[in-house]
Amino acid sequence: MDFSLNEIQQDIASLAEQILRGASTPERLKALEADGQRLDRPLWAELVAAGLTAVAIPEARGGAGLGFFETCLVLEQVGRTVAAVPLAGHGVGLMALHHAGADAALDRLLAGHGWLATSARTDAGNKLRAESGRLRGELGAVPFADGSQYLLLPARRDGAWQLFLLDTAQPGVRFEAQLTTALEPRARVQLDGVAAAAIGDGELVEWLRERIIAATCAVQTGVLGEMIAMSTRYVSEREQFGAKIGSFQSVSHRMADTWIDLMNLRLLGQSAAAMLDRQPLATLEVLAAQSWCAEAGHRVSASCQHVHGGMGHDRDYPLWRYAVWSRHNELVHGGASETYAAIGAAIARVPASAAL
Amino acid sequence: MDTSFTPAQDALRRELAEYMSALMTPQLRSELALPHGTEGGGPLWRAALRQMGRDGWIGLGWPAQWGGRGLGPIEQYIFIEEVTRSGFPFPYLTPESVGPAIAEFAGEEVKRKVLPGILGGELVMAIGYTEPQAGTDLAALRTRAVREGDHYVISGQKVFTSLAHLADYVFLAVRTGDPATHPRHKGISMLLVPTDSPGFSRTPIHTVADGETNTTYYDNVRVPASHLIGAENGGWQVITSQLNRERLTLMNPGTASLLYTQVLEYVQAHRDESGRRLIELPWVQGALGRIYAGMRVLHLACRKQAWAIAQGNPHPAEASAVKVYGYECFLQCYRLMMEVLGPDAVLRRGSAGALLEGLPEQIYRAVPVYGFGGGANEIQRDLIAQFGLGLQRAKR
Repeated sequence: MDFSLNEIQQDIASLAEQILRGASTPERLKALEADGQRLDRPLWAELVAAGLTAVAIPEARGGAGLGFFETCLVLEQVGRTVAAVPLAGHGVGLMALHHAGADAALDRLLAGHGWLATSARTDAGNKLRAESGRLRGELGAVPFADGSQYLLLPARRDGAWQLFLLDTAQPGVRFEAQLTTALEPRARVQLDGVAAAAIGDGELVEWLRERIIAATCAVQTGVLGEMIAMSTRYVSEREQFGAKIGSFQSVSHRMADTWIDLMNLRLLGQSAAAMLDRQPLATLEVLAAQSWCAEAGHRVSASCQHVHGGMGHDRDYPLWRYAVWSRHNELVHGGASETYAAIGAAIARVPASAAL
Repeated sequence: MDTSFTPAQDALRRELAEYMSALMTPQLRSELALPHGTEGGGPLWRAALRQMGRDGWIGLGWPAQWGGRGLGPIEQYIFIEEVTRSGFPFPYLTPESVGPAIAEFAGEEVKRKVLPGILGGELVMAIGYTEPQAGTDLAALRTRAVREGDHYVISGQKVFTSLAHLADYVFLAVRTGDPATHPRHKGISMLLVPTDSPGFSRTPIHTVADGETNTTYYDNVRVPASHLIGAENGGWQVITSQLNRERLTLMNPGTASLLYTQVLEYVQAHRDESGRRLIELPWVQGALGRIYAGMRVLHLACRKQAWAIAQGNPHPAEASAVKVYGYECFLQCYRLMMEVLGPDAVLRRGSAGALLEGLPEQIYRAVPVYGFGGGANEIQRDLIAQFGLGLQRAKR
């Protein structure tokens, strides 16, 4: 048992923090939002140059030679700065390419500044079909799809899910722009007979899905951590009735509850990430973390906005970005109710796996 | 980062589970099922406690000097988890929080007198803090002790002195200081009071959850001055040290894990009116999901505390957070377990058709005590705000 971060892990987290805090300032984010495209290409290039976009890829292939856990530490800093970069899908997608031995695409991605857009959706929003090496149909809400170099997504072949990799620079690939509640650029991907390589079956889709969810938990840990820090500063300065509002127990106890929620989310998120470095799947741990991502996201966000009063709604004050990101992360893989049902279904399938 | 036990710790868990399963004989279970037997106190319970002591389990994490086995805080945590998971009403505050406070603060004579007995399962300690007018504001306590020669003479009254009816000693907080010069927490001392002392008496308080606690009376009770734990008027430090240990032990998820396992077996074995197994019902699965997610993180949080204590570096806000969250988690999970068991879950032990021997019903009645036992959760939230968030110290 070891709940500490080792020196390398502390170093990579502080490197990520330094770069992201320096670049992803409220002014910078405001300018991107004014452009209507929340995508920070210079910051992305900086992260690529610093080696933070391929943390879990072996050094021999050009990565940092660390693991998924360390990838999540970088993603926590992305959350703390609500940075406009496609790191979650790219970082996890690269791991899937490496895992599946899709080396040519991996090498091309690692050689340049392009990114990989990734989805593991297999719900009703995915209508992709594969026939003789070509994909047809559509898949909704793929993060940072437009502008990506490759897409990694599930499609059905003969009724079974497989994971496909495709180069976006070919005819028949269309993107219909979508914006999430957090203003993250997404796209409904429409494919009309596009050449794609199957790199794995349904098992790899699950492998990918669990890592995408755990990555979102890491981003949410950062989002909520920063919200709590901002709110602590605010209630320590704001005075009403001649006193700092943080001195009122009704306020300080509400803030204490946010601290507990964050502690629990971080514990489960990090536990799930560490398990995924040791084993292909960690279904119950990942789902439990997702439920905390949703519950903590909902409660912490509401409390932090509440203690800020009107400031939490003012778009010239930075809290609102965190409020919308906490909602995005709360709901984007299915919310708490669906997650609890999924945990219960997993318990019902193999009760012995759910010993406590 | 690794949240799992080592293979040796996993082996210890299995060994303890087997040991406790053998210890919990049908005869002992029957004794514990008697009215007011749920907290132990009967002859078979006493014998089992001594057996655990003789077999070296109670002092698992204690140094060899006192008869312990010298393993660490993580192993001690595992011990409490497995003992409570077996359903045995282990008086865990004796070796887990009062014992360590005695080891840290008492004189050699008292240590030699009581520590081997604690680790041997011979002695049970009650904690005498709360008074009718001093609950959460413990520093307002009035029970007085006056030094007369080589004795202290105690007079006053305590309330909710749990386990005093089984205990050999009361770990008693008294006022020794002059309020003018040593006000509130500056004038408190700790004394170890044998329950067979002349002038000590008690009356029972019957609790909502079939338990028994006590009002205890101290009518010129004389105890040797050597029974002072810590310095005279230095008791507050002893109390806070004891309470810090108590908070973690109180939130051990062993009992909740026992009920979870039983409920999980129940929903696999039983069917609804249409013949579907309960575990197949979507609403039952949703409830199980909530229970699992809630309890899994409590396990992790408690393990992290044990690990941090082993590292010599426990975080004060995390200890309070585990206390607050643990209570909320128990309250919610026991409620969900009752929901899953259905309408007959409200039947009490001994009723025809009582579910799981009425254990969930009894524990769901008992659970609110965790919201204030070991320090009211309002105080814990004050501590989290102060030490976790860095907000200014709360006004009281």
